[in-house]
Amino acid sequence: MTDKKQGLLIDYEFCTGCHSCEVACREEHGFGIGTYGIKIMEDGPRLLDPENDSKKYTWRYLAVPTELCDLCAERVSMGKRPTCVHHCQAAVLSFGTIEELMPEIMRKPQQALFFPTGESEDGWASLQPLREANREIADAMKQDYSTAGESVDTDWENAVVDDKLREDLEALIETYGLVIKEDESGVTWTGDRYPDKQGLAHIKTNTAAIMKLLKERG
Amino acid sequence: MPLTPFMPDQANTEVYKKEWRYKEGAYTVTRTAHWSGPGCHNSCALLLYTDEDGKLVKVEGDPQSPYNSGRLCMRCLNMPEAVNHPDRVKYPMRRVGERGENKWERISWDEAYDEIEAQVRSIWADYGPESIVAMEGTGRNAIWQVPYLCHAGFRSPNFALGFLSGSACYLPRSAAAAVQSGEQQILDASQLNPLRYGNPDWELPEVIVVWGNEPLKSNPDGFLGHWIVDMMKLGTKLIVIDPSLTWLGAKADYWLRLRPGTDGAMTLAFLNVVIEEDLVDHDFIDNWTYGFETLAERAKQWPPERVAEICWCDAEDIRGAARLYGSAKRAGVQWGLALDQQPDGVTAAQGIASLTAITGNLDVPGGNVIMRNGFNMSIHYSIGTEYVDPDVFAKRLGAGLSVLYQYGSVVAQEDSVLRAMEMGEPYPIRMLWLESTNPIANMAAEAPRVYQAVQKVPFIVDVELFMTPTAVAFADLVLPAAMSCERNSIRVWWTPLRSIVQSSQYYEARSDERICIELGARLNPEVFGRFKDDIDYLNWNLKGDGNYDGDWLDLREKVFEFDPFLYNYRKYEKGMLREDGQVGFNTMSGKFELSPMLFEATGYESVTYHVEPSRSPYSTPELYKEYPLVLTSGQRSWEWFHSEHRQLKVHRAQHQYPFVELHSEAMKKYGITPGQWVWIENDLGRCKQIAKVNDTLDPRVIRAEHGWWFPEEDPQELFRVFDSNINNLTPMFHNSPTGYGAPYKCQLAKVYPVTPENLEPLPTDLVIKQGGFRDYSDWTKNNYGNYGNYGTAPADGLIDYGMGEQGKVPTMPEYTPQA
Repeated sequence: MTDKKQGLLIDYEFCTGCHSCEVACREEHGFGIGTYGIKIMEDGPRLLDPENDSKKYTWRYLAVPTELCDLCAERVSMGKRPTCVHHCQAAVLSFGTIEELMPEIMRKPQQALFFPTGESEDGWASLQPLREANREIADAMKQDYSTAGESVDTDWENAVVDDKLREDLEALIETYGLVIKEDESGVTWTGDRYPDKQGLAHIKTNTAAIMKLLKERG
Repeated sequence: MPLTPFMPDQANTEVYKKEWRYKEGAYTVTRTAHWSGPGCHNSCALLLYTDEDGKLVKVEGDPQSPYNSGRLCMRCLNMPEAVNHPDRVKYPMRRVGERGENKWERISWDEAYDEIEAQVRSIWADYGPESIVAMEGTGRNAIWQVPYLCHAGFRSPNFALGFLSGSACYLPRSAAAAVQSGEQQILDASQLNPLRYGNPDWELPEVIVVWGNEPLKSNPDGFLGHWIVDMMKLGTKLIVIDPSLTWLGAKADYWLRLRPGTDGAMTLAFLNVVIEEDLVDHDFIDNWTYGFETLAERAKQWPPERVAEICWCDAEDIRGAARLYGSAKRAGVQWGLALDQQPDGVTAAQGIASLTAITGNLDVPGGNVIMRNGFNMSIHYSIGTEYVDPDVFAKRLGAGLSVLYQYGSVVAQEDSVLRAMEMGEPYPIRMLWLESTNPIANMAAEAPRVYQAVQKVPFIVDVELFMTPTAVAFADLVLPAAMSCERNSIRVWWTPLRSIVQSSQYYEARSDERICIELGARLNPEVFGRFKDDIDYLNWNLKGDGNYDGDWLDLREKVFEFDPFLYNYRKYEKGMLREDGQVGFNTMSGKFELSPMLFEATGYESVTYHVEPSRSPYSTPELYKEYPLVLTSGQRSWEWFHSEHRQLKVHRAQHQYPFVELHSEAMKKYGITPGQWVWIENDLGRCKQIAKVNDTLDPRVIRAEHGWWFPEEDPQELFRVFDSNINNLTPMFHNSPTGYGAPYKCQLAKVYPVTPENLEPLPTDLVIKQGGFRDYSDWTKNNYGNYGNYGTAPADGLIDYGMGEQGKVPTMPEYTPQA
């Protein structure tokens, strides 16, 4: 167990695809055939840039640690290197902390840094600070589209509602789940589904009539 | 983190002890090296972890070794699966039933030795020791035990390499080098000195030419391929010469995609450019070489424009590459097997060695250094030849065929061995000893023909790790061999000297060392009686023949030791090479012979030439119409070493089947879908592999795999060894003009899909039940290629390989073959 994060640096310019890392890993961990703690990927052989150069080939191998890699924790605790690093025939694997490996990765191109045992986060938990921070913004957004209407004066009892309007507004009430809201600020309507701008404008224009219909419903 | 790869002095000494054996928790850890079976030639330094039952449970790289610095390939990493495999041979076994029935009874080692001794003595009495042939495969750890047993035990001159036609593995290059300079050479990647890249005496090569090998996978001849990657990181540029793009080729400044089998021509182009553009080291040429004018005159005839047509390459690329090599202050060549496995190869190897010499890159830091076995160890094929009766030694099969076989090495030519088995000429073969070789899966060209011929040998012993197709097909006795971790041994070739320490035991398996001295003691007690055990034998090599100051126990303490002799560069200037202590080389002229005097005296073409492979678009144009693809084979895989590792699950999971690679245009042309089983066929035979796209190949070239047998299949069907065997298509007896070299890597073939209609007969069934692709038993009808007619070739000529209608017959030289 190390307290600094350790990783594998792989110089894939010179990996020859020899499989020693795969086999050494398998032997060390007792994996069966077909199980890998590190696996070689291949690109090539193919012409690197056929439109411009008919002779230059590229052929690269990259060994990638799998989800089963534990950076040979047991070996490392004994003072050894991970077995893939120890046995790599092309000597392209290095092992160390991020501080040790960063100068190496800067030294030449075509290298990759892997942290197979890096701690994984609880993604949802990590999102909470942002969510907390967004509370005020979210509330403000809801204000603009609040389903709570402004307090209505008592005039709504005398609102005129013809059949057509009644039909329209009944639909609106159903769609947005409008109900009467009564509190110390007065009497108004509220709903549990956010209307779009058009819907909201329609409700606000006909607030009095809506209140009347809501009152009739009881 | 350092720019250079992990250096041994950075190993955490709290964890990695200096002791050769120590405890780590519940395990015993032994510091040792691996050589080999199974595995390659390199002897990487290992940590063997054994548990309290003595079982090998884990293998890691030894980070304290300057050789591999803790790095390992997957073959050594997964070694426990091989070592503990239930299918390994456990006990000595005698065959019951017929050859091929795979029926065995267990016997004791003494019973086995009794029987072998009786057979050998009876052959001595009735036929002569020369009727015993001992074979090993690619050499590895058994490189000196098998020859010693053959020469000093069996008293036979006929030590050979597993039916490898023309001894076409390293020996051709080595024989050429012996004749040119008396020395071997290897690319200097700082491996001679434990300080490695930090050695102030070493210089980084600006350019490395990777010629005829894929060293990252093959790690050939005591060279760890990934050292090239180390040097690339330090700034070395590459030139890669290979019919296919490889990872190194993709990183190279120049990738020369040459037609398989034309390296002689390519070498001439390089020589042409460096000489014409005066990129040579006149000081070295004037003071240390002989024959430059002859070489220059030949090279002048071969500009890149001419070579480009032969090699199917771009002339400007060839010129650019040669210029890049020649202009570099320090440049090295990492050469490989492809050079041996073609008729052009021996002469190309000679030319490449000349190239390094005339450009001032011989035995300099970062160039090609002159190498010997550390501490002068007798780890070589000629060990024990002094115990073969000189009259008998003169009967070595193939010796009289060519000047190079006569003087360049002591190996019996494998084609000559086959001929002797087929014809009984010049004498019959009565016993075959196989150790660390699986010829019908691997090295034997014309494998079905070899299979038939070997059946004629009455007594065959196979020392093996696993039951292979060879063991089942031929053996009368099978002896269980120890794997590397079960042996006490030593390793050089080249440096450092390393101890190999037994750390576990598998049933009754015994080491090659023990088998050699135990059986040898039965046959030649005067010689082998000097060794009371394997350690004694090792001490004899260390202190008797070699100049190591210590014994095996000292070496075991140290784990490895570098030979300071090999810290020296420019050894020719310092009088370190010649036996008389004079400056110069161990040659007739005392110089590096660009045009070897031995060749000049015997009428051989003395400088590099080009000769077409026995089957090629130009040497056999009619055949090319029917078999319109150039076939190369034997490219390496990460997963195995030749025919090994096929029974190991980890390795097979990654590479289930043999693949033949074709360009998509070729696939379209021949109606093939990627992933489909296809027949690869020529006039000698056919095999099936799975088609795979490789658009970096020339559309006229295909690459097939080798060494395939299927351990999961029925042993009585020889594990289906002939079904995918590319050596159904390669010929024996098509050697280079020196008798060495064979065209494994440059044949012709056609390819077509496997269908239910054409599936049968499968090659294995055809070979086992019906004799093969044709009747090999009428020896008069068999093709013997250019056997006995090696001679030499004119500079632009062709050789008659007995193909009938093709090719010119070259003018025969003064030298008369004696066999």
